Amino acid sequence: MIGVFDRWAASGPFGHYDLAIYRIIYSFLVLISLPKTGFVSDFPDSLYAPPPGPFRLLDGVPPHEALFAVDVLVALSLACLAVGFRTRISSLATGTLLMVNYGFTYSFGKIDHTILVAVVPLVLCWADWGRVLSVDGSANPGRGEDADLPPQWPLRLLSVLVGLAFLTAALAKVCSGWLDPSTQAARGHFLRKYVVEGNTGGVGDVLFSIQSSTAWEVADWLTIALEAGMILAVITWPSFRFMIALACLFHLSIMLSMGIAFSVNVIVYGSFVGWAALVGRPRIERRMRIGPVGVTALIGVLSALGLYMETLASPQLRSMIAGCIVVIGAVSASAYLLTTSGRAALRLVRT
Amino acid sequence: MESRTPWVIRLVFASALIAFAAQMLVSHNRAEPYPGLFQPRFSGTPLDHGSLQVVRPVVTVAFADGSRATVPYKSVLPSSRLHAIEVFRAAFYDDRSAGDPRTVAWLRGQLSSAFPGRSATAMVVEWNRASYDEADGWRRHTSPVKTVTVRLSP
Repeated sequence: MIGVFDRWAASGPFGHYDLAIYRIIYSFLVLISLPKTGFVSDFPDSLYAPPPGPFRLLDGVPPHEALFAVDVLVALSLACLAVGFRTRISSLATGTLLMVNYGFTYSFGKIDHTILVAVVPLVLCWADWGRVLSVDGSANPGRGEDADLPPQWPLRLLSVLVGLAFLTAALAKVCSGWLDPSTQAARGHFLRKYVVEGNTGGVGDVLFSIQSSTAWEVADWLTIALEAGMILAVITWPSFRFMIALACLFHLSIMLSMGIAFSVNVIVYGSFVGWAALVGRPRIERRMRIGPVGVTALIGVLSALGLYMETLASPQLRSMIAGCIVVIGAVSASAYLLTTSGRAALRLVRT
Repeated sequence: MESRTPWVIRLVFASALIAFAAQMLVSHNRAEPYPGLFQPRFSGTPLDHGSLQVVRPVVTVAFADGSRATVPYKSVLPSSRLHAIEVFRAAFYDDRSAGDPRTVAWLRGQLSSAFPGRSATAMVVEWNRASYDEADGWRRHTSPVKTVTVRLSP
């Protein structure tokens, strides 16, 4: 049994270039999605009510200067991660600082469940994702040229963590009556947005016109099947990739129906994509050769970009970026599902 | 290539599962912890026998010159990405938190910024239950729940 687990944990299709390209994409997308946190110090200590956890160690709202220092460090660590400078240290710093950054804003009564985006660098730094296309890699030319794959267990671990996170959502729904044929819970949540808040994502009128309780109950069951199925799908890579492709379409449907663009999860799903086959390795390598001055300048520019998003970027710009990420994720997922199902059909015809 | 011995990897996976079980226990017995591995729950259904119900505040500010102004509850809060109604409810749904001297001092500053040159003496928050019935074409009906008054003048 333990042997089966060891083989399962160690197996996977991810190469050094898949992880390195994703590291760059992850860093850039997180940089342009960084949350504003400075407003936290505009609230009084009496409203500071953190959930159970380390943030309860603080007596009240941290001063503006401390929040700004965290903002600077997050942007800097993400910039270092993007160029692969001291990759493991910058990965650990990025994950920890993102948790801190988000944590302050979750200390006023509501948690937004962006945790997975902070978990990614904490896990993938053990997969050696800074080995190529990085400052670290250029210090040791030839690394990553060998045929062997990077450690695959961190990606397995990440897939399990994604599956467990979704399981919490499925359990909450099952325990609160979503499977009861009389509830149509998805319709209830949609109507609350549509009728009470007047806030939907574009297809609200169409959904409002759907009165069929059977159709809405099917939506309830499919939602739970997706969320609970994620942890079962970690058994194999094709099944897990299939489920995260469905999850991308699910996020698009939530954005269109309820106006919630949950882009951070789409960024996380990118870690399971075979990027080298998509982008092409040699072209990337040629373009990535830059000297120390260029690297320093790049870190500076990327840090400034992150800091801009954390302090000055308008809510409209943020919404637009989040929406674009969700749409790109859904389009890519559709292409993946069509390609894989097409290949499967072709194999079936040939046999 | 760097590799980890199998027992280390087993230990990491086992630790993740134990931590997950622990967070579920905390979530069940107390409240959702942070950091914690969770996704949005959307528990239950807001629709109860064809009726949606929400409790929302109506905010009126009284001034020293005797005038009053009804303002959106969001205008009392600083601009932020927080869910405004959650924060406002935490601050002004019960008398104890609304009367906290730190909340009162902060509110005084907020209102003096929102109404420059005018001296606010009190903020009255009427919490109303708004019902929307499907059978009634989703028309809104409101009924009072409670009133919280925050005295701002010394």
